[in-house]
Amino acid sequence: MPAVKGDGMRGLAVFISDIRNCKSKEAELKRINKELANIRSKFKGDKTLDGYQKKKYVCKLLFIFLLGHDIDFGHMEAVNLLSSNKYTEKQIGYLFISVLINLNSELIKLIIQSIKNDISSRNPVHVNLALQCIANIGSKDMCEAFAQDLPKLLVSGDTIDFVKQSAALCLLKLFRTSSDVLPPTEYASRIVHLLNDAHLGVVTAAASLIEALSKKWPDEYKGCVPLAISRLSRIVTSTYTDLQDYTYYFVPAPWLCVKLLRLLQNYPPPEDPGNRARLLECLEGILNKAQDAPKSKKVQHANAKNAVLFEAIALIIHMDSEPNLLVRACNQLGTFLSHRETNLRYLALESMCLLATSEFSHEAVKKHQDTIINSLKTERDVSVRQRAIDLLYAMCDRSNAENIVAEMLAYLETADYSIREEMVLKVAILAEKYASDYTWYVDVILKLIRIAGDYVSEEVWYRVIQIVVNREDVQGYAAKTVFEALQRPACHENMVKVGGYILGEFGNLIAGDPRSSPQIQFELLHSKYHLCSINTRCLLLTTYVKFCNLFPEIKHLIQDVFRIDHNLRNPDAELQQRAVEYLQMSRVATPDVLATILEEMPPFPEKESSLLAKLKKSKPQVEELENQVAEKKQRPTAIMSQNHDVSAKLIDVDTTTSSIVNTNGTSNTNPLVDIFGSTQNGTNHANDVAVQNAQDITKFLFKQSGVLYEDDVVQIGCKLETRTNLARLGMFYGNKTSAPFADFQATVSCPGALAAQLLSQAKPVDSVIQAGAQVQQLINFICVNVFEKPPVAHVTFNYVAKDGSRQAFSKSLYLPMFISKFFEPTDMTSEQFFNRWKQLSQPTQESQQIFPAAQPMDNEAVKTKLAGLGSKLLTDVDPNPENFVCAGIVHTQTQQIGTLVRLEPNKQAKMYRLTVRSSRDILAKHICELLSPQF
Amino acid sequence: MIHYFLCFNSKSQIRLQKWYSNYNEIKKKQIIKDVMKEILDRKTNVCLFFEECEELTIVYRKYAALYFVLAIDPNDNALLAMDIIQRYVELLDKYFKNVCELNIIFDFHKAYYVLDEFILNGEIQEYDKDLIINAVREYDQLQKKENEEQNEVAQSTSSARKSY
Repeated sequence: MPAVKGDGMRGLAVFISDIRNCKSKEAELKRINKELANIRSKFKGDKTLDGYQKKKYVCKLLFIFLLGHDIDFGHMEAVNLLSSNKYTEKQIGYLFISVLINLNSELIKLIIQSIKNDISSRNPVHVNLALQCIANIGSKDMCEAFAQDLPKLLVSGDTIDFVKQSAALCLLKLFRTSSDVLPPTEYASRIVHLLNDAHLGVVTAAASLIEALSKKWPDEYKGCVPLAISRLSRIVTSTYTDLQDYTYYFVPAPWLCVKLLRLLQNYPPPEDPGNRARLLECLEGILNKAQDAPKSKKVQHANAKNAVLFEAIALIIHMDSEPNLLVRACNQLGTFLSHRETNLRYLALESMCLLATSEFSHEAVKKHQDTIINSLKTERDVSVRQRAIDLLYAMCDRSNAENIVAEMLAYLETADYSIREEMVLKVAILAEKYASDYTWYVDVILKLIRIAGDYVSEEVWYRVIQIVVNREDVQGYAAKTVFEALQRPACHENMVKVGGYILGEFGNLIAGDPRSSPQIQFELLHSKYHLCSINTRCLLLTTYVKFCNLFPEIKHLIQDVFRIDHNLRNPDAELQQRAVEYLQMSRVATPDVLATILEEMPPFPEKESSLLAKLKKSKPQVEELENQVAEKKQRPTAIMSQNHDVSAKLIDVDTTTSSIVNTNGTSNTNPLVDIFGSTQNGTNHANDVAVQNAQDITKFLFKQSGVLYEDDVVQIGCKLETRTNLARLGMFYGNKTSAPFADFQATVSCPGALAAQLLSQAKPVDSVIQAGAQVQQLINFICVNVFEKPPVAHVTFNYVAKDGSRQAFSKSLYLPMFISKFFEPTDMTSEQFFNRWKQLSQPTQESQQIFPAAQPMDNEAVKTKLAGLGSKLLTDVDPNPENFVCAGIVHTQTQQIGTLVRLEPNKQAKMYRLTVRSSRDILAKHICELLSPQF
Repeated sequence: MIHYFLCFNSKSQIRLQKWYSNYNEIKKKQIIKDVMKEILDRKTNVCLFFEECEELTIVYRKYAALYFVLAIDPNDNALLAMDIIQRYVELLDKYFKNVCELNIIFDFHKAYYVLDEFILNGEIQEYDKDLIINAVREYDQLQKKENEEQNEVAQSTSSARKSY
């Protein structure tokens, strides 16, 4: 046993030895309970304890707590120790408090008082203890108590170095607890200049603080960029002997290097050519050093060197402007892919994933495709294999899709169960995204079902059906392939579902072949029927009734199946109902009626693949990755919307025909035809005609219904319903005159860029509106992408004025469609909110406006407005109860965009500060612009 | 930023724990349990960091029978976190002169003092070895002095008793 050090707490050492000698858990518990009873009686006893005894008992309690037992007393004694003038007693007191204190404790006031005393002490070690305690607890009360003193202590020239270091990190803690603790500008310049401090420890601590502050106030702290670059340059170009104390295994100040590189990632690449050149020089220097022979064989040397290297590569990726460096980074990572250190292989794959999304390095990543595929096959650690899959997914493009998908399918057969579902999703997405030939797509999905049927979620097989239904050219092939798949002896239930659906729709396409005649198709499906779950059986019954229409010659066989008790009297209501109704239908309906009812399914409306949404849900970082991909490469989100030749059945609106709806058009059973209705009608209206309600329209930001326009002749009202990225707007036209309106027309247009961002489709209305009558028109919208301007309605009709003359009415109105209408509210706790808030801290992700209040600053009125916005107005989230915060997801067809809104009123100054953070920059800016004039 | 630091042995006995983010006691116990299980179940020769469900990256290293664990933000530098662990162990080694688990058990408060000088609020405060160790030694000197005073008082009272 090592000698007990000279702190003389023999009682403690004896107690610890006793515990260690306990043979069983029970004995240990008994010993602890005995000790707790002893301490409790000492604390409660009449005899006043001296400082030493208190220290000893508090220390024992601490030990017991750290063994994992609950401690519910002793806090008061620990607080008493704080005011001792003996250092060790103070120290134990602070240790106990920082480990065990409850933030809401009533003792917090006493603790704060003790800390105050110690901070103003002339003894720097006491000041340091107090600062460490603040950094450990950092409650809101502490923010209030020390907001004044800490920044002063930090920037004062009199403060000694190690107190400065503690003060910087202490301030950081308080800033994380509540960002109001520091005014944005007052200390900015002096804090930034700590980067120039002679003491590297101070620079390191300050860099951590500045990193956080510059995320919150990038403009106020942008002065840190040149200072960080020059500091970095001095470290990188130094030799390891220059910074002796701060060199770690021959690497100069790796911690500080990483911090500075990280700090620079908060800003865009420097514009000043001098700084830029200097930064590039540093980055090149770091890449060069990676190739030098190691100065030591110790793993720590390589580790520290690579830590700096990876951070430099992260900065290069963040800048995304230096093709040369990106390619060099990629080659460097490539050498790590076959390194013997698992950690490096893991990190290399992870960083390459980001490189794959940059247009400059995408091709360079592809050079390593074979190595990556190989690591999928040979890697022992599942987490590394997972990274390899992520990378393959990210680097996939049209040129290598077939190869990558084939490799992933091959790996899927032996893949770990934990990652199979995600892999299935990824394979399905890649196959859809890069399919140039849809027979390949169908093959891939069916193979997925065959080898990993249990992991194929509903979304995957729904999607293959949607695609087959929407694409005529692949239907025959799909029918043939599922038929063959169903003939295999072992067949997954998901295959039966897909097979049942596809044969029910398109079985006729292969019925000519005697090997797959109607009867054989039916018998093949029915041979699986009894092995399937109720849901699948329901689906199969629908297939059968569709067969009645496709193949009247086997109708009697099918009716027999409906008729058996097992179906007709099945305890499951849904199944029974289907059997009864289908049987009856097949009996009484004439072939014509049957053909109408059981007609082939109309094409599915085209929307974002639900697979991507599912993948995003399971892995939030995918969303960001996808955003980057979308921004940088403008890759198509789904290939389907590119093929115009077969678009007759897809909602594939090309820009010239967009959204022009001929309301006089004859109504058609297929509503999609409307979109392609007439193109000659009124394309140019929107830009020429002045819009009547440009000012008023913004009031609809916060409500879903109201009067859009009213005069003596007509009243136009509206009512909006939205769901995800779909909206339905009900328009009400009321005739206020005593004569009917004639030639009534209401069309919708999406002028300019809006045509591609928002799809609209208006149902036709009668051309006559009787006197005093009101008619309704439904307009459907699909939000494809973030849009800024609302769409415009053109209303024209002829009416009889009061003086009996005939007048023409022709007006254009903005419709109450804003991007905020596609908000889905999200409930969050305070912790979740601020985590998310922190994640969205890139300068481009935030938009902020400070503006004077245009209306009385009434809390309730603001609340009502924000509650109407569509996002979730969160209460008890913001530490300042005066502030309003909202959270929501904006749904567009291409992506789902998490968005956070924070409105901070300042009643004294009659100002507001509005901050919007969103994973898409233009959305944050746009919402900020929409909202700021409204308060 | 570091969210928490744990040290435990291969018998799942927790030796040191330091929380830099706010967790309640129930959550802390749950995390300790989960992290221990996850790490002790890992094979050798695998990656020394992994993602936990809480969206943190766990980095660990094993020294003799002791595991040292850090939880960091997922975009933090994992290699650097390994260096932090290594540096902390070196600091303990220097302070205790050939550290072993018993040092950490009996002088657990010292291990915390060393940690507090090195890491504050989940960020590195100081990494110069000598500065850190000298600071902690300085406290020991203070303590020794205080103890001597204490002993003098104790002796004088006991001798006072004897004289009765």
